[in-house]
Amino acid sequence: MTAQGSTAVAARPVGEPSGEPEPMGADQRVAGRLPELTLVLALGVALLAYTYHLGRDGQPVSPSLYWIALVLLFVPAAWRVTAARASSVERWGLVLLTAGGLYLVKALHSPIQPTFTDELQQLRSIDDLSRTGHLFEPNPLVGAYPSFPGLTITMNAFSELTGASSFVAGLVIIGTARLVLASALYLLLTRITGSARLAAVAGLLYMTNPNFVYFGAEVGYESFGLPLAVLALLVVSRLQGAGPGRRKAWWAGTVLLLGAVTVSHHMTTLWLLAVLAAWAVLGRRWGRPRPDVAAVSVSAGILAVLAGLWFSLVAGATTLDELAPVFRGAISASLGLLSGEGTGGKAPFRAPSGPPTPAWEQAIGFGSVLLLLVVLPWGLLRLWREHRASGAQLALGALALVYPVTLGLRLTQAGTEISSRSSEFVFFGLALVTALAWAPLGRRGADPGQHRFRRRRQQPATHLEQSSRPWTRRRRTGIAVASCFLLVGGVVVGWPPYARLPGPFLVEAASRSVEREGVQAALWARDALPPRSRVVTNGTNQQLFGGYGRLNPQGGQINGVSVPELFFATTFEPFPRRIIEENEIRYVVADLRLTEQPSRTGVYIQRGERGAYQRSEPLPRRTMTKFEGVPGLDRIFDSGNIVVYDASARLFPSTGIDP
Amino acid sequence: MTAPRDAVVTGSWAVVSGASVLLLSPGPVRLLLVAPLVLFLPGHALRRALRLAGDNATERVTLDVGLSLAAAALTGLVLDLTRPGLQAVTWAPALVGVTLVAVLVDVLRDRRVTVGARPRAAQTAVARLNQLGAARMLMPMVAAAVVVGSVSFSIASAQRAQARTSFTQLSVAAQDGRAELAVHNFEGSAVRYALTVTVRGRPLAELGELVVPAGEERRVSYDLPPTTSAARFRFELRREGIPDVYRQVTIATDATDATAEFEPAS
Repeated sequence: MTAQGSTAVAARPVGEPSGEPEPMGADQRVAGRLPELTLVLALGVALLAYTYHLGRDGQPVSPSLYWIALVLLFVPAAWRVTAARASSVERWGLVLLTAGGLYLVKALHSPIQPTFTDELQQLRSIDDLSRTGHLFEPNPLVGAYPSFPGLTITMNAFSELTGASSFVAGLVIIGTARLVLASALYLLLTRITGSARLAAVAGLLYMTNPNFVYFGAEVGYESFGLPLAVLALLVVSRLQGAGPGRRKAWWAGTVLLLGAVTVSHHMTTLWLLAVLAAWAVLGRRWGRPRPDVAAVSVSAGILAVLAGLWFSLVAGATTLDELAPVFRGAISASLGLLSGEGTGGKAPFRAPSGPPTPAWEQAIGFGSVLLLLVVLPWGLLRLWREHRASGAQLALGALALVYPVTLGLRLTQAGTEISSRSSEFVFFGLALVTALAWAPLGRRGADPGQHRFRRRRQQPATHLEQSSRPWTRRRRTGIAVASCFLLVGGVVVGWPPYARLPGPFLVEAASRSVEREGVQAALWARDALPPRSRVVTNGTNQQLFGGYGRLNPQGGQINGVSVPELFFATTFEPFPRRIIEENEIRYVVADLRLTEQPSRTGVYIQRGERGAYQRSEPLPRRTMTKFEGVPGLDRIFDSGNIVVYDASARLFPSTGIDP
Repeated sequence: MTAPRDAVVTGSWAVVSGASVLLLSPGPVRLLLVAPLVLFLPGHALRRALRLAGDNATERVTLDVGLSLAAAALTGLVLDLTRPGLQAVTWAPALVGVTLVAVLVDVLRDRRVTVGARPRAAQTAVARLNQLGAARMLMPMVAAAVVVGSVSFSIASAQRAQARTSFTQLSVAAQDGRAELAVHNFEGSAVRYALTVTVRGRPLAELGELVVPAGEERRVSYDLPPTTSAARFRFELRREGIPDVYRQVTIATDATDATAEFEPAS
């Protein structure tokens, strides 16, 4: 069969290998404009490094420098990949360069030590593995990390073999994984849509998700698991169309990757399972000509078995402990909001303290979401009309449908985390649907008969013809500008202004709260205090004393008393005493800076604390100084802002001491 | 590259990497030699052994790297079952072994088959690169230099910013009737300190002056005097040029000697 009115390229069932190289545009050069654009990208990196330097110096940094750097990293590629003359290799190179450039946005932010929350939490598991040589040591910061040790193992391998520090190992492994993600996504989309141009546009659109630039680039288990999952999808797509002689090989690759995903990240495993299942079901129902979805179904089955075994034998309890409260809180807050009885509502872009998000940023943030919402039904309609022969595309389309639901969750404080974390998963579908909505515009004008042809569902969709049909300069510019708008909007929505650039210390402000005094205090604790001793402290110091210090930060509630009350009370009696004694707290770390600045995130100790997201003033001085002179509490460390009290005398009392 | 030739290169590189782990001390050379043992070689050998022939070079490279990461993650699970666990001495033979076994399978399966049309493709790619011209070939190199320079600049900038944070740590630990004090200077330059011990606000002893160079630590031991009742000893650190107490730590002790002369409660 051939695509009517189009270039004479044989169409093939979507998701099956062509066996033929994809036709390129008139310009068959491998490199195309890659050399020039590499230089532009490098200039973006240099500008970013300079902007960060100004931020670290505490100099007023014009936000425009930062945004210009991001534009340089993204827009040239977004404009070039739509060119008909660009070769598929050039597009692949541009997608990879953009992914690499955007990875440097995070890497240059903190180039000498981990400062992002997940990295500090991961540090504990890495450190435990390095010391003991064995896995599954409990991690008091995130219980699920030891149960999904894929990243920890790989970092350990790199660090042990090369002699590099675990921080460098993490940067290299995650950087490599980001490139695998970008490459695998581009190749997968090329395969299932048949168009390198569409795949490149969708690949770049994926990078506009709110978590791609910062959170997704952190040294965390999701950042490692997700690339492997996308690669697994690529391998399954190859398996689907492989001849009998090649199947065993692709099966082996599939099982290897599915196994690696299973031991790397819980949500990625569940997401991959859902995508494969949707692909199999939707492909069986609507795929034409009758696609070979058996391979997809069996892959989903294998993953289900592997995940079932892993969850039941190793990771079930820790996964439930980590995810259940998050989902329960989000559902509860959402129901409360819908019924009008909830108190967990949240206004977007409203922080309890600090300067408000600039109006123009808010406008772009809202605008980017609005743009995606407008494009979504359009793209879905086009997918349904023209591409439903492809089970893979239908599955990704179904994934895109989740996006509006996740936006609703952002209206609650408890649901914001789920909404934010889900973007890296949902955008796989959303990027494809958005690209589909934009991609045919040029073609329809050039080929009026094409659209009508696509309505015949028995005809498999393919965009092979697009690769050789030029889009107008105006349309290409429009797509590049709109993509850039989505990128800026994604960063605005996903990362608060104070955390984008490095700078002077701020209280409870993610990476801005991690500085030398805190790190050195935690390193002192590692050398001077018994490992795994129970400690109570504020949020940032929990990460530091847990990650660097090998202590076990405590939180939650004991006998109905919330642990954060230890710090919120202005006198030592009665709650702080009860908390220390009933929790067998060995050390209390008081950070006096909490009494000098308000928390930027609105949380001082832990989510769910009394007054969370409401406090706009610093804590009263007395909350941190009330431990002075209390019998049974020794002040054993003082670095000016950070004071450590030893409560072991209280746990093993002998004689009372007159203060 | 034919299968044997590729196998020889892959296997040799794996062996050299493994040997480098044992012979070279950590540094850039070892990093460059050994990094592929985690990031590329096992996946490359596995892909070839399994005959996962991608459509093109981009797909093959992606598979090589992705399978390497997956192989490392799963190999680590197996190593965890061994007594020494995950260490350099177990990682090196494990990953070199995985690579060599895969290479062997590749060779045994087909010793002389040319895989795909890669030699031609490679030659074509080189020919196309040559068509770029010197100026355009130079651009990626300049870009790489700019990126490396930016990374170095960022590292230097972050280190400088870190050094600007100045503070002093004072800590104490009780051990066998003694107080072990440590003064760590993070002020950025040598600082003169003075340490005193007080009980109930009364000076008990002067522990002398300390000049601590930047970035260094000095330790001071103080024998806690026997006391007739529980006592809290306060160690006060003063810094030259600052009149107030700069840092302070405390230690409480039980009554140690009913006949002792020192009576903190009096």
